[in-house]
Amino acid sequence: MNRKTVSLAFALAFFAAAGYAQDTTATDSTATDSGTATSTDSSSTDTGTSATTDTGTTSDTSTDQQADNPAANENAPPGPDANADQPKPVADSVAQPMLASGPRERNGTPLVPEQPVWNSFHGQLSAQKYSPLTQINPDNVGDLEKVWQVHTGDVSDGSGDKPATVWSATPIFANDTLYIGTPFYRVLALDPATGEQKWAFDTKSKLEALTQPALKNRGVAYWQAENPVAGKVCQKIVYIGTMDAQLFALDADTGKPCPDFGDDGVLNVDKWNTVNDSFPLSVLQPPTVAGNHLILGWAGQDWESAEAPPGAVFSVDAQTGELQWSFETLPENIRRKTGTANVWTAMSVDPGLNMVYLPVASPSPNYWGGNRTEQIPYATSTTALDLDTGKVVWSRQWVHHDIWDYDINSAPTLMDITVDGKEIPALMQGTKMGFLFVVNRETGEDVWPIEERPVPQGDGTVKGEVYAKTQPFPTKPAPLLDQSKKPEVWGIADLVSGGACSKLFDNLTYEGMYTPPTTKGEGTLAYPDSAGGVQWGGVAFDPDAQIAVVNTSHIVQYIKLWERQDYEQNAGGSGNENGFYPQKGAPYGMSLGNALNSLGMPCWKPPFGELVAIDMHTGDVKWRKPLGSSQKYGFFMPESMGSPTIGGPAVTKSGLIFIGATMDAKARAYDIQTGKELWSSQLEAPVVANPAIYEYKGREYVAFISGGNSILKPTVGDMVAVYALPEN
Amino acid sequence: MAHSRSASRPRSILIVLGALVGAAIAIWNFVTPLTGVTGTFGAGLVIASSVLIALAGIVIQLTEPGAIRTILRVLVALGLLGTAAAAYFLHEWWLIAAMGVVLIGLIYDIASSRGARSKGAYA
Repeated sequence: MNRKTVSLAFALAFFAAAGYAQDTTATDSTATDSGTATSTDSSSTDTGTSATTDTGTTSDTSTDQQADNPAANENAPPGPDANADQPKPVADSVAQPMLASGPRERNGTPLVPEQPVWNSFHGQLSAQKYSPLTQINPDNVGDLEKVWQVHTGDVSDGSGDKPATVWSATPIFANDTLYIGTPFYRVLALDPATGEQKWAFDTKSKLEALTQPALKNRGVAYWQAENPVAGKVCQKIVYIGTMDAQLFALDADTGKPCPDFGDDGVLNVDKWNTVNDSFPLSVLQPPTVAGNHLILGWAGQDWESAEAPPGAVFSVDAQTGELQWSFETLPENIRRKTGTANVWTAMSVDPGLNMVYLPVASPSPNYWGGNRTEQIPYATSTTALDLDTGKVVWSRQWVHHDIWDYDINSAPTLMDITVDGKEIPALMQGTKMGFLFVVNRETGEDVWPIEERPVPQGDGTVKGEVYAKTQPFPTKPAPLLDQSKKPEVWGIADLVSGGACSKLFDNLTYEGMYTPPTTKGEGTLAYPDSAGGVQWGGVAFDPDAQIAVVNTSHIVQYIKLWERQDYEQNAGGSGNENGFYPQKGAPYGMSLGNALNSLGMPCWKPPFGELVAIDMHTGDVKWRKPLGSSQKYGFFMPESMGSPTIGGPAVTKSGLIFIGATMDAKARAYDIQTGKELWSSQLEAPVVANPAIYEYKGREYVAFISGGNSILKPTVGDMVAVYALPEN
Repeated sequence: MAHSRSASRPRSILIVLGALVGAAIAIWNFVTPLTGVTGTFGAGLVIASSVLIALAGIVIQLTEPGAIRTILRVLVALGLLGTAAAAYFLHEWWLIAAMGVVLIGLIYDIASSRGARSKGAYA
């Protein structure tokens, strides 16, 4: 029997024994409801770095600063027109970019740095996740070996007194040091060749689930002075944010707080939380550093609440923390009844055009929009701002009147491409919907046509809603998921459940993609769901080969709205992207479930996740293949089925893709031309961020953070693993 | 006595050895960091099934021909198939090889028992 036959033969028995699919959509039973404070001793971060590195000096800082008034916002979008009571379909007004100023002149700064750079969350400000290094190549990548590993000790599975950890950090390489932020909000400075600790800093932040169900961290940011002052501290700074809305600035050489920044090294971001302070403006994503600007977004709790702080992005001085400008995403007159439309993930910057690109999330609450029927053009958009003023240059809304939680959740990837012989300064925006929107990054205009197409208008059961008549659909590249039709039921899952999967799918409302949530029956089939499509790892790009690389998740969920009284009677627990959420302030609570059978198997046909390469000359898919292996109770499913993926790729000039992102917790390398897997290494938990690629003293390294995320599986980790070729 | 001679021959030695080696492999995979199945239920399950197969092999060696031995052989066959299947999904390739040894041992045990019975019939 060949491998495939064996796989199929064993699949039935395996599933019955293992209930595999619960993993693909695991509800983290240890996750804490958002907003539920967990009693935690903030001094209990006694977790030093272990394994090959000992904990070094730990500096102390404990500062809290009272609020100031935010600077007046000059960039607020226009308020609704006088006929706001009769909302118009939003599509007409936003089908084309909202262009506030003409194309920009580049100032000569190259989009792709001439030297290898990995000093930010996505490697470079362009978010290409690209390294021009070539020491590791397709011929020798199979020899890659782990040269050091470190366990930070900052990990929780949620079974103790701390919420579970979700560690989505990309290490950054700068100042001849590897800097890492942990989910206990500590910063570690490590020797890039050995992992030996240079210094560590503990923010002593509250380890409580204030806005998220888990302790989350996406790493640190780095700044250095263009003209450093000799003998003065903090000419190189590392920043880390916390769940309780503090931003710390530390001297990159010593780890000591920068006295000129904020209040003795701490900026209280929550001082700008003045419209609605129902939860803090958690700074989980490191700020984007561009010149002397720190661009800050924040994370919220829009699953829980309708009324929430309004989305705002702040630019502060990198050395002082003083506010330079702020940008509001919500029209002023509705900021008190809705909220968020925030930027909770990485941003990208084109220094040559002096523009920052914001991936803007959906407004609150996530699944009902009766409180926000007015136009909110910047919600669920990519919005380009002038870096110096925060004024809008252009904006494209990717989901009109978003009631599916289709947050734009990754930094757009900036790329110069040649299409039909014409050089285009482009931007590719990956989305949860599985669409890749490609526009001119100077103007926001289409590279390949993006069409407004009619979408379902609901079944009339939901009060107060005014649905968007159309939604944007890119004509190229092809969607990463086939959302053109109802997902197919997976025969094996249906068979072993006695037809339960077919029954479930038949009982779900489905009129095509963008079917609105309903109160009827089991609810609405959601595909892709809010954890599907492209996640915060975003799209990588090889500027020489002009190949874009992206990983996807294919997950089917169902969403149901509950009248308030029914909700109170029926609501159960919640997990991570799963369960019941009250949508406080809305007439409906909601529930979100994974389309599983009674054995916990996915009801939809695999693959569950893929890696896709796109030729950006043509916009065509170059190759695509299932990525990784799903795993439950230790059992691996055949790789032909793939795995849901969270995290993202990095690419090299030598033609390699490095990626973790899968349930089986492996780091892998692929040939960018063919998609052939060339190398893998087992880690302790899924890598849910992009890897980092750097060179130190002539040797090339690839670093993965193995931290895990309960959306993939309950296993969490605290491992930093760094690989290189053997030394001669 | 024919029975005594039969019981004293190590008929099921390969079953026991294969299963013990399998258990050792499974234990190694269970306790060693970064095997991909460290500390998992699946790895624990194949430890248990391997040990049970080894115990069954010992009992087969000690029992006289009859229903119990037949039942144990059937259970060993099912056990090794299930363990091999689990090992396949755990990517424990050496454990599958160990179950191959158990299979050879089971075949040898059955064949040698038939040989013993045949000799008895002609004696």
